[in-house]
Amino acid sequence: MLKEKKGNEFLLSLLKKYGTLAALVTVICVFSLLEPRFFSVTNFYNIARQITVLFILGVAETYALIDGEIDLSIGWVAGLAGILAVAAQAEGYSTSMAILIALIIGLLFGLCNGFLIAVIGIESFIATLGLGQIANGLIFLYTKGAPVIGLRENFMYLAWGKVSGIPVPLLIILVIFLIAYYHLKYTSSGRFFYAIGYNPEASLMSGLNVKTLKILSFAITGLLCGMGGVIIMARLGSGQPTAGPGYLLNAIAVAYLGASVLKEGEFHTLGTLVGAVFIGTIINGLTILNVQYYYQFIATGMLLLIAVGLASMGKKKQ
Amino acid sequence: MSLQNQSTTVLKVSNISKRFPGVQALLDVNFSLYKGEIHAIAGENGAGKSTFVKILAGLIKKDSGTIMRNNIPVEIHTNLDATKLGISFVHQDFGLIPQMKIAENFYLGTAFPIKKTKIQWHIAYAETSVWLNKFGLNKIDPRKPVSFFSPAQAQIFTITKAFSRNAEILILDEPTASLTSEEKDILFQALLHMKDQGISIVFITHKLEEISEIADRVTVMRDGKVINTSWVKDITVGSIIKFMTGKDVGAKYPKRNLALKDTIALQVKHLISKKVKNINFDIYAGEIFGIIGLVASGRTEFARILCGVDPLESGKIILFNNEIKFRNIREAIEKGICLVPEDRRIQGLIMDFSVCENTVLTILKRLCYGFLPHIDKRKARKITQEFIDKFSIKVQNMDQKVKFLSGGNQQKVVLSKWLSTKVKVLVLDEVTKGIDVATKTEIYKILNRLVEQGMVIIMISSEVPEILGVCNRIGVFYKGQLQGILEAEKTNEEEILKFMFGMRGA
Repeated sequence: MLKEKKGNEFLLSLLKKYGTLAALVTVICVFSLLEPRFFSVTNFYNIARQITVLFILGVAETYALIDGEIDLSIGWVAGLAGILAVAAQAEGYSTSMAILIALIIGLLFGLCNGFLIAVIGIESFIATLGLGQIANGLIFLYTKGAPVIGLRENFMYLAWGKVSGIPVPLLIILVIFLIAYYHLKYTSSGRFFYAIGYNPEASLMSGLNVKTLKILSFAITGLLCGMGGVIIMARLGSGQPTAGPGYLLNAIAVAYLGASVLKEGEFHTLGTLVGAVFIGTIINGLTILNVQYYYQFIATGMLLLIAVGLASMGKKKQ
Repeated sequence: MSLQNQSTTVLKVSNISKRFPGVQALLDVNFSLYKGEIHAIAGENGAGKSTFVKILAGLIKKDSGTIMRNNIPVEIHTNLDATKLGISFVHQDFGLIPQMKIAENFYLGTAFPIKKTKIQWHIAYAETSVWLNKFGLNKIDPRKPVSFFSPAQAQIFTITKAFSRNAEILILDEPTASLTSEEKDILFQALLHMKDQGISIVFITHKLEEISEIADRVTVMRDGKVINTSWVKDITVGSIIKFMTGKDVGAKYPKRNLALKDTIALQVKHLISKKVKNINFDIYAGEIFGIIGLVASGRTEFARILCGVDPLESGKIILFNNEIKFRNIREAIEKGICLVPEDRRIQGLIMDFSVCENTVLTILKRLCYGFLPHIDKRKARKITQEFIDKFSIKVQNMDQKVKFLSGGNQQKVVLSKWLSTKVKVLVLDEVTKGIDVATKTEIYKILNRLVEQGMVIIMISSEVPEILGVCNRIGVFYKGQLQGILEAEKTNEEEILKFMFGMRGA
């Protein structure tokens, strides 16, 4: 009996570690069998395009979650940054200048979030909600609810272009993945982010500058939001006031889904990538199969609950 | 003691085994409990004491074995099952909700006195007071939140609560771990009072002197097995230690060359803050300086100032003839003053980090190199391995998360963490709390070695024998001031206690 129990525990630990990955492979197989068009290079490039923003904002949220905080402003900040980039371009600024403006807007909001949380001491849930609302207000103040037009070809190239046959968004995903992966795994500030998230008091007692680290982390989140905003608008071809906010919940979902990949309950870049691919695949597959749009929500919701539920199982025992 | 003759067995446990992934936590444990006895369970960390009592309390499920309550076989699957059988487990953290009122906590888990749908608060308060008075807690106002009271009061309140629920068997897991000796006495009085009423008490402790003080019988566990159960009057502390460690432990406190060198290493001059008044003392090179005092006597507060956690209002800290100044923990660490804080789980370690990551946490920045500065993992592992060897830290490998280590090994990791920096002054706050006897001795040996290598060590403890055994000189704090400095060789427990209670000195 003892042996059997041990076997079960082993299976459960396998399931916890590789369950999400196995489920992703299964889903890909099922979609491929049901619809041959799904399993093609063109469609994979499609998925990459569709998940670019989701992944970038997912990484942004991952940084906040690693700190032990949450950022509810990412969608609004991305929206505002993207729209102001479009506006800048419409005013005649170059594409690189427009992108720079978006990044600066994102960075500013990130710094403000960090300041409110680390220095003033507001809970991140409320601080980011407040700043997010301000960003939302600024979006509508500027646009009056109407889309901003005037994007140039080379701006939209970020979402639609190709470099020697490979879509630019795929390259963007790759670059951001590599930087974040390296940063969180191999540098001291990356490890410090984990430390302050796991145990702020012990981190402080170990001489870490918890406040500065937290501000830095939120600054990175903000910067990524700026980048995300640029890609959103480049994809749409204009500055849509309502495009940003919709990403918030999916970005949180992606990060949590990622925490169930390989490591039980730890947020990490590779996990977030898998999470984004998983949600992207489901949405893409259901669309190709002509399943009614609303089912996507139900499918992603269930996926999130099952994956996170599995990872949480047996946690209480410890 | 007439217990030996009466001996009605209220609880009998036979051949209980429990396996966790990777460890056999309990193996064929046999245990019996008489009516009205206080039964101590002793053992090193990881001996299986907590696992065992948690099975009795229904918090962990056993793999095999039987439990008999009043000679009837019973199954305990949940905490509720245990409560129904009259078995009550008092958590290490008391299982109270600190923000809620005493009376609310009292009724948590049962029904409030209710008329129609409305809580009858006046009855609730009155009933709670009646129970509190029974245990001499008449100073506790049931209208105030639990957080308002001291840990000892909260703990006795928890026991009171269990008693009011017709508990016949009380299980206490290290109840004195966070209590001062004064508070401990209050607790013990309450326990003896319950014992007189026929309650049986199971009592886990790390402090062996408490066994002879209060227990009737003692069961010693080692590696998940019961090694010995005997009447306390028939056994010596020496043999308990022998059973616990499986080997003879001669001296608990290792000997060290006590000769003081003439150089003054650290001077504290006119140190003043909100919580301490005008502290002055010198520490000589080659000595371990002890600091003792009751809770809130200023001992921990002083340590926090010395290590840059809290700000100092005025005063000077002079290290090897140089005055040093710092504004926060980081600067204090840079100057070489490090604090091993009281609570290793909350303040000392990142429990979800590995042994290696915790060891190099404080020097991570210095371990980075190259373009896109990244952590030199090989160097980090090398440093960690050195400490694992030097302190014989028991780990599966250095990538094991520290939360899976025993308390003693965790504390060794905390020490490694600081020793990997260029520490000159090491301040230890209750460094051996909750650590088994053998590991305590190891830690004392480590401290001796460090001090011989020229480190300044300040050791804060609330255990008088420890401070007497380990330190050269002892500073006693009382109400925020340094009541006196005693030489360990020329003083005794009684004198120290008198200073601690402000009856002598200053």
